[in-house]
Amino acid sequence: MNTNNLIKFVINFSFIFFVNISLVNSASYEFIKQKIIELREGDLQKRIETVQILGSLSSNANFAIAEMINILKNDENHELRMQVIRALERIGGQANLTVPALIEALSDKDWQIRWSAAGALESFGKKAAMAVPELVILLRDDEKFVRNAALSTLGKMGSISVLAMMNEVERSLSYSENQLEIKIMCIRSLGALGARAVIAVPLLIKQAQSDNPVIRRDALYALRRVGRGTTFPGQIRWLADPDELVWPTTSTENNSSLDIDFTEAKKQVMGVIIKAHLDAISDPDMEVRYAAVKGLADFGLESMPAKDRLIIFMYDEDPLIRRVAIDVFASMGPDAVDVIPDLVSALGDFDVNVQWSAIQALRLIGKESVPELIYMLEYDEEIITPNILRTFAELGPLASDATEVLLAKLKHTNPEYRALAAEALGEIRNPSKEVIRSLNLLLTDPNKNVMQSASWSLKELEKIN
Amino acid sequence: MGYISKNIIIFMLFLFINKNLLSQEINVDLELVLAVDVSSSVDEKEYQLQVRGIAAAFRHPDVVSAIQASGGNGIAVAMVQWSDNEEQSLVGGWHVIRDSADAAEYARIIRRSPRIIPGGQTSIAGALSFAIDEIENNNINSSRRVIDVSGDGRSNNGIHPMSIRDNAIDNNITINGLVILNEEPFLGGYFERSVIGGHGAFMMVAEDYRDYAAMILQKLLREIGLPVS
Repeated sequence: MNTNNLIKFVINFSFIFFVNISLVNSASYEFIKQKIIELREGDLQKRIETVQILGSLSSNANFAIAEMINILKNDENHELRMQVIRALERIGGQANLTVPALIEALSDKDWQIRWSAAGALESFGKKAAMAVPELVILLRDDEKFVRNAALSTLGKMGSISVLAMMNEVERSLSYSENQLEIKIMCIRSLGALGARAVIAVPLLIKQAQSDNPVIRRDALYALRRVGRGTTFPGQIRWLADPDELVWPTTSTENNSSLDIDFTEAKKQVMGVIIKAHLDAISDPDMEVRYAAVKGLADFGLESMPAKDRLIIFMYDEDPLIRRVAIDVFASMGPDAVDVIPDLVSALGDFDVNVQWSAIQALRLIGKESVPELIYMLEYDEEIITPNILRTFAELGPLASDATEVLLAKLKHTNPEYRALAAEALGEIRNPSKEVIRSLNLLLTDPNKNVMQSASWSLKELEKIN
Repeated sequence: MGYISKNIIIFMLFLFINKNLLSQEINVDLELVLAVDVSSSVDEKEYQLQVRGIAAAFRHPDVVSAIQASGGNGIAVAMVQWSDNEEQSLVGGWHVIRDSADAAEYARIIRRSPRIIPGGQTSIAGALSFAIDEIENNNINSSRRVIDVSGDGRSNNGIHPMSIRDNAIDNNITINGLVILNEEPFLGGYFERSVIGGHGAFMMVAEDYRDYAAMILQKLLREIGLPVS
């Protein structure tokens, strides 16, 4: 070992030793006590550094919270107070002390303090529920950052803020100067609450028919989130959880006479939400159409009535619309078998993301897509052929009927085709003698990619043997 | 006591010497950790959309061109699966990618990578700590070190990510974010405030997991293509 390495070792060792000792000490009561003294007596820079250190200790700095709140309330230095809010958010403890202090900061004359306090409350979730009235007032703040932070925090509070947001959505646009913006943000926030905002579905349906395309679009996004199957209540246990003031906790159990089976209600609400999406796919505004098609992908087979329209969208001039239309068929899986020829055509789309969506849709349809893919492989088209080979690899063993055409492609003059065909054979996992022999021949291929693909596939096939 | 201390030091010196003799450091233009969310909010279908999306991105000719144009030494990349504070796993180790064959090889590994962590809560701090540790101890040298963390929720487990993010910045590691708005429409603000940071840090937003492949492609191009500062 040379001298440099020895020095490096000593430095490394000392550093690790020092860090460990520091960590042990940092959590101790005496350490925090010392930092509290520094908060009171140090110069400004030292106090800011101390606040940062305490913040980095997370819950270990719990008993410094009172002193930091004192600074937030009484100190006049902007930077120090900002750092205190950040530290309180990081420490995250003693909500009974911290939340009221942050609520008080929501009406501070310094907008950055209001902004930071609104953001920090987000970390406390439902423990910050008492901040709802003040956060609603902040929706009319002059600063956009403050308004957004307030909305974001309201959106995290759960059902307790649903009524406050519904109220804002229903207000006339002339109620305040920025009421349109508030309305839009509240619609988004209702969507953020998912199934907990199911009570707002009729209101959102009404907004989806607004004259304003932005409101229509965002109402669709919100409806989509509310209607997602996995989070939607199946059965409701009324008033089981006093914390859920608007929409009670859901349960899948049925062991109480107080349980009400909401299956039929759920079906009806879902029907209304899907209908709103189906209606909107012909909206004159492109963004609304996009939101509608995007949303339909969440509803799988329920989107089947829109099939013909979706096929037209697969040839839309906008690649985003083409892609999301394909995603809807992907969500239908094997039931989208009728559109296989269109999906195979989409493999030749000039947009790479559309191509990838088509590959995934064909994968999710499964074995039924293989004959059409084999058929189209005969045309040997520059964009479609490699994507067909990629689709076979994605399908794996489901594409076993393609083994013969893939063996032929191993001899193609284009090295990309040889590499992709070799890889697909490895994914199909059919270790026949012919496959092994053909792949072995490629181990001496002059192209590195072909050689490595063949080698990888042979290893995969060996695992089966 | 003196005898024990002396032996401990000799043993540590032995380990250190062997580590240096046995390992050969590799120089690349970028070290990149792709930290993939596998918490309980991510189902198997969504996991597949993530790994297949990453694999497809590495096969894209523009990504290969960006790698070759990034300085001539290639990039080192590793995928980490993460969920709660105790659950992180390096998938398939570190790989150096210099050409299209290396990229295709890595794509195959990623596409076939099983989900090692079945679920759990969300600890972005845990994911970042693990990724930082992997970068610091991978025996690879580079002038740019990036953690590319993707997720669909904010931390609900472990410490706040801000502390670890700041540690990463202090260690010259950039954290970029790919936010998936599947569960939380306002997650972008949280990532901006609490997760991303460092030289040239940026964040991209995918509306849901179906958008993941398109977004990770754009993100890789931007991460790899960023000129060396």
